[in-house]
Amino acid sequence: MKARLQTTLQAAVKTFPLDRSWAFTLSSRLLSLMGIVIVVAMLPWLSGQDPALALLRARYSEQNPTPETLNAIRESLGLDQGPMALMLSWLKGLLHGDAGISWVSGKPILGDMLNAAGVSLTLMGFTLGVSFVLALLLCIPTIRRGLRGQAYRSSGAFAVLLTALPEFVLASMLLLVGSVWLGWLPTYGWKGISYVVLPALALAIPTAGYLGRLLSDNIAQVFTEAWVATWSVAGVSRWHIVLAVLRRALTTVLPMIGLTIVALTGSVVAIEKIFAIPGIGRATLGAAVSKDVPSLQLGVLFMLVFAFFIGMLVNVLKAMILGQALRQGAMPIPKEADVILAKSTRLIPVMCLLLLVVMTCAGITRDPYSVEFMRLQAPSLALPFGADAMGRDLLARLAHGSFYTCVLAIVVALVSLLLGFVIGQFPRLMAGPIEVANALPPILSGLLVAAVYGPGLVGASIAVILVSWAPLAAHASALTAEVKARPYVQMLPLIGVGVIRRNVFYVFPAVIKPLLRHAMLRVPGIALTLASLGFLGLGAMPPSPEWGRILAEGLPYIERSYWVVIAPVSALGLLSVLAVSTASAFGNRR
Amino acid sequence: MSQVPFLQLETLRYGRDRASDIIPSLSLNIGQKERIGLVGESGCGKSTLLKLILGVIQAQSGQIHCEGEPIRITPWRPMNHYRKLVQYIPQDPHTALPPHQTVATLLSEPIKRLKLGTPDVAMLQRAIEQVELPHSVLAQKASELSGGQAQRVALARALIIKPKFLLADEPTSGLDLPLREQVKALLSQVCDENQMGLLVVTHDISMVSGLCDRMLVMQQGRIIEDQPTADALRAPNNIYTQRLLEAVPTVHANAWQPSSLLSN
Repeated sequence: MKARLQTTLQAAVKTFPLDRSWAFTLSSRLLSLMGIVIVVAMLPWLSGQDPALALLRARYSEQNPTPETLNAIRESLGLDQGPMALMLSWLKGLLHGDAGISWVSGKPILGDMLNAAGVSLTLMGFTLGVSFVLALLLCIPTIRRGLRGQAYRSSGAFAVLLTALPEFVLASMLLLVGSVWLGWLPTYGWKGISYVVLPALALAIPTAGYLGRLLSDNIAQVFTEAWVATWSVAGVSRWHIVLAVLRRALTTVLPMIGLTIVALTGSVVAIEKIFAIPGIGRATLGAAVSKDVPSLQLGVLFMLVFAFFIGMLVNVLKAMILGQALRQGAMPIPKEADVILAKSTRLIPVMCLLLLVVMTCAGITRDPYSVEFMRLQAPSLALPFGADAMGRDLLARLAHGSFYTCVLAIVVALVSLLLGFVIGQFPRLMAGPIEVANALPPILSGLLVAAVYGPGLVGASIAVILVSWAPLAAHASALTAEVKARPYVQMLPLIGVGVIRRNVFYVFPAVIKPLLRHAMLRVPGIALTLASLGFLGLGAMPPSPEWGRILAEGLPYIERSYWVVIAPVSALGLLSVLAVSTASAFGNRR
Repeated sequence: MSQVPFLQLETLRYGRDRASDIIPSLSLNIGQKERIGLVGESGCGKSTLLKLILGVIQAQSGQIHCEGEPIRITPWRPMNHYRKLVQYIPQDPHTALPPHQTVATLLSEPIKRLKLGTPDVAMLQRAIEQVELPHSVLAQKASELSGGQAQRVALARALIIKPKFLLADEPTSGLDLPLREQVKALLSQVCDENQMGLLVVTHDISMVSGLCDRMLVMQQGRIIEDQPTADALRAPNNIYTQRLLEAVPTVHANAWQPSSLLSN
């Protein structure tokens, strides 16, 4: 029976020209996408408390939950039919253009959300336009070097710096410089073209820095391919060569462009909050904080659909540009280029770490909670960073915050490492979840977790873990496969070592060291993500001195006293440079 | 050798599908204490056959019997009895020993896992003496050993189990020439001392002629030559064996004369 089944399966696999693993990966991908949609649909139930009670709290926070009122709410929303029925009716309603009514205002939400989505898409369009122009500008030096036959990857310190700053930190800086100090552009709102400039720049600069770096790496690599030399010897014009090289390099970068655009959907949330833009991100964030579940569901769904769409688009584009060569597996292989790492690339992370440690040491003895100074007191010798809006010592708050953030980030990294290791043992089964978690912006997962768990430090940590296990799992599965293929592991059964002992005493020790290094390299990045969730009000709660929180609390006073923004922005800036430069200076040592 | 052969392979098949099987169908009997050399080109299925016999991979069909008992591979149930009878030394000793373990640890592992007793220093020292290494090696890590030392340690680990039969996968190909001779001599010596059979996969015909009393030649997963070594070398049954023998490089002291090149 079993043998027959096996032969039938084998025959089925043979009749389809697909690789078995390919079909497996695709179904894993689809299943995990369906999984997320189901999670979104089930949000009202996942919070662990009665949805009717949640709604009551959301709408009339002061009313007492009597059984009668709760029953009335249940009936009016059809909550009494149970989660399955409600999920189906939610999905059915969506198909008919009915996304339900807000738990807060009691009005239908679809129209408002569509308007908000329009605003966000406009912002996104401007951002992408600016990003591509900037990214191409960043590539010009590499192209010129390539044409002169000196293709090498630049260390790109400038581009690294651009990439390093997360959008919400950069936006605060731009706001400070562009509208407060120079007064050229409006601070908040969405009333005309001049209102797009700062938000679009804040989103585009990090994106362009990242894409520009990737693209110029690829361009340098493509210039080493043999055909470029053949073309130039044959007298093909430089312009044609540049176009062909760009086309080749772009296709390699395309999947990353897709991922970057998807990641932008998360950043848009922060940017819309800072600049008070009435887009989908701000609406969803507001819904998450006020526990208006239907609006949150719709907002998250919009972002997911957008992300899925971008993924499809990128695949189609890639197939169109590469076409025949991709199908026939005839892509030329680039020569392995030497990565020239300047000594300064090692120096940057060390300097950043040193500065952060000095700041922490200087402030750790001071009191971060008590109100000892004037509100918004200006910096002085006794008070190096000034005081915040409540009159608390900013240096003390930042110092305590760094300790707090570091410990939490390390814990999150270790939990992600553990999860990643375990999940990495089943690479084919988990290919879809790994991909989805890799693409899911942490802010989106933060929104989902906040809706389930309520905003807070634990929720934020869970949200970060939900996305940060994925790269570690991918790494773990690659490492495990490599270790299991080693002859001494393959031959272990011969000396009586069983499967469990093999995994625990032979595979694990060989895998854990590089994996631990990888996880530690991610600590600054994780700290930054936690800060961004804190900034959005999805993470640490007041009065805890969390950096993102400090920045968010200072931002309203930016026009009166810039130091409440400068201090957290510089601390976060140092942390971001540390995050990116550690990864690029120590990350590619294999 | 009148009774049941030590190992019986019956119509073994291994491969992804019938059109491109690595081993389409292979039967072979191996007697007690027999020393066999297996030669063939790269990719002919020698190493696969070795792994099949070792029970590291499972044949799609066919059966292996050892001393009349069928060998069945199950990933969760250890085949300890078979492991004690048949052991293996690897092709590349550097990748075949866990690099982070000391020689003492990696020698004790099979003793503990196969429940051969409790490993004590005397036992380990005897094992290491048998392969002509100093006792100090025991404290070293596998990654610190030289190629020749590592191969000897691998051999010691196989011998400590006191198997009746040893399989060797190109045991000398990773070593330089003087070391090859030493390992060859050592193999011959330990087989004599331990009354052990040997199946050695090799590219080195001199190894077969010096060490083995039976020679097998494999081509595309089939055994095309199976004779006593002396006969196979003198009068091969198969044209392919003949070519293989002719391709053996021989060194003549006066074969290369720079002057003759110049005069041309």
